[in-house]
Amino acid sequence: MSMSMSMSTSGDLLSDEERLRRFASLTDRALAYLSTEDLLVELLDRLCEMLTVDAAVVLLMDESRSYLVTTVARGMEDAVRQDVRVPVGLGFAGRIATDMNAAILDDLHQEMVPDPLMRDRGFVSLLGVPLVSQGTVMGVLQLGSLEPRQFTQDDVQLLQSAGDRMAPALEARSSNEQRSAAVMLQRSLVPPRLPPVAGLSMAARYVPGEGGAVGGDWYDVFTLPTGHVGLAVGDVVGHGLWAAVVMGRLRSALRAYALSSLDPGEVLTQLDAKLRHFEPSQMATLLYGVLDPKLERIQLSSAGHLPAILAAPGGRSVDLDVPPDLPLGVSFGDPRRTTTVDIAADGLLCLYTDGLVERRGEHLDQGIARLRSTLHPGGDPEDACGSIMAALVGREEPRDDIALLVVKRELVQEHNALVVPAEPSALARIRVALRRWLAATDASDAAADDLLVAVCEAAANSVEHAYGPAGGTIEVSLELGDGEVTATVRDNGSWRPARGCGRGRGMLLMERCSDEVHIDRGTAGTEVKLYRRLWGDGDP
Amino acid sequence: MAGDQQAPGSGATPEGTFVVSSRHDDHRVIVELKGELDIDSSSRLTAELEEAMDLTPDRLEIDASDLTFVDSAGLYALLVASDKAETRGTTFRVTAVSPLVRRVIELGGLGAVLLPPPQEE
Repeated sequence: MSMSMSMSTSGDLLSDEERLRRFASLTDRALAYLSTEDLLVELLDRLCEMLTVDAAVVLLMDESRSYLVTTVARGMEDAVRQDVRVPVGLGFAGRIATDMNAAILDDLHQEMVPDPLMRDRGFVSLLGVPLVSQGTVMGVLQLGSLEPRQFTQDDVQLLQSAGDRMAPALEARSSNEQRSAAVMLQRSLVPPRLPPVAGLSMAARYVPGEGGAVGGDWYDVFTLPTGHVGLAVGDVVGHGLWAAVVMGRLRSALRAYALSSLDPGEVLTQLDAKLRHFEPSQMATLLYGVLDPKLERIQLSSAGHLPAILAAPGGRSVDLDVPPDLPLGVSFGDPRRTTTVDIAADGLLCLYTDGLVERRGEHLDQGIARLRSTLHPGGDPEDACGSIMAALVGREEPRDDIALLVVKRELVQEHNALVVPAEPSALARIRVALRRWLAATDASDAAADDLLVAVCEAAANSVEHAYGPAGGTIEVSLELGDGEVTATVRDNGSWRPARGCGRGRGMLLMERCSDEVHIDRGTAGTEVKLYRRLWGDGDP
Repeated sequence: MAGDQQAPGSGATPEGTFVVSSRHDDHRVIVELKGELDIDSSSRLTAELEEAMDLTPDRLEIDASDLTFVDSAGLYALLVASDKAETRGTTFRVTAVSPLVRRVIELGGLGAVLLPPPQEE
């Protein structure tokens, strides 16, 4: 701890000018080669040595400017590890921060200074200077001696000059930290890869604003246990770390509320109440939509957000007429509205934030019109995102950050296969996939119902009979033929008696809901093939 | 292509695919089914129906207006409950069925047992 004490004599042999010169050269060279963190440690070590003290510490203002936080220390590293804080205005360092003046304390024990930070560690004499950057106190640089000593005005000058060199580096460190934290947060919450959803293809873009500044824009896509799909694009007012933090909270809360209601208006009413209570000074716009499990229609609620654009096959792109309610955070808690819109197969839906359509010296409507004319039905969402960004951003650096999400409801795929674990809970997943696939065919309601019943009975048979406790998988594949669907349900198990009972009607339902059933019980597993016409009633 | 306004609340709950609840007055218990009834959920229905039967109502009605799917395991749970109800002198009916639920009940040969007679509908 007091290693520097033993070297104390060397400093006294040098003139003050020489000490200052040495110090200056050290900082200049170190700045070029050391990371900010190493630089600070190096400077504090140097100060301890040159001024023959036992400890040196940098305390920085916290976000709320009510505490000084011990950030880097030599000779009292434990204070950093314990996250010791000094209230601004109190204690030795706290007074320096408010007075914006250097201070000397010859004997801490003789003064009525409440300073547990230094007193508890046995320091007797203290010297401190404010760290000022652009006219604002950002912290305090402070030295402590375990032996009583009298600091001189020369010591003060040297420390102040060290502080003046540290302040810009600290400022840069703090804003770098904030910027990279914001970027990391943004990246983790707005992932470039979207979750795979059968029947949908999607693409998205996120671009930070001027000078790489991330803000509070985000997009999100998630599936719900019922097979509904949530889509969101939002914009928290403001920039930087705090906007990104609020965005992250809104994103999580939206997902949580989405689990308790399928009605977007209800979800946004709850989200609004949450924001107003827990982050009362924040405001955000948000467009939230819920696609039904068949992906045929979407329910939307808008919290003051720009309209989504829909490119429907055979038509022009249009702004979706979703009457916006007030943004989140500034409402009076009135219930929010939900609007339902049909989505045709091959249709493209585009959600975005204002950064995409806002340009200097241009009306917002012009940008939205340009976006509409760029979006065409039937295209690939990845290509659509590419053309939209090229047409609307071009070579210009966007002022605001941009979030863009393009979702397409795919045309029916002639072959579709799904593998699920042979567990009762997987049957719901099979139904979601089957309903979604059938909705994209022109099967009649009666034919779709029949296929749903027959396939689920076949799959339930595999769940109950195919595997022992170790379990296995079931593969369901669907094939669209000429006016007919062939559904194949396959397992790799050997038939064994069911653990439950009462499913005797399963085979009956399977047969009556299909035009034809083939069952192949081989040694390698069971394969059930079901045929059903797309129209007309079933068997009976 | 403008969207139309819709009242909130679609009956389904996002966190679970089957929800069962009941209410009763003096002589009748109404058991409401929402979502999908299959081998994964039929035991929950059986438990609820046994509790309902312990109240020895005159009538036990299954409100199936929000039931979107039923399979043979669900059908069996309904059949067992209806047998028990019969031995206790309770009238057992499944009401407000969707086309799919009606079809499964009828193809399973249980139309006469579970569905109300035509004049009641």
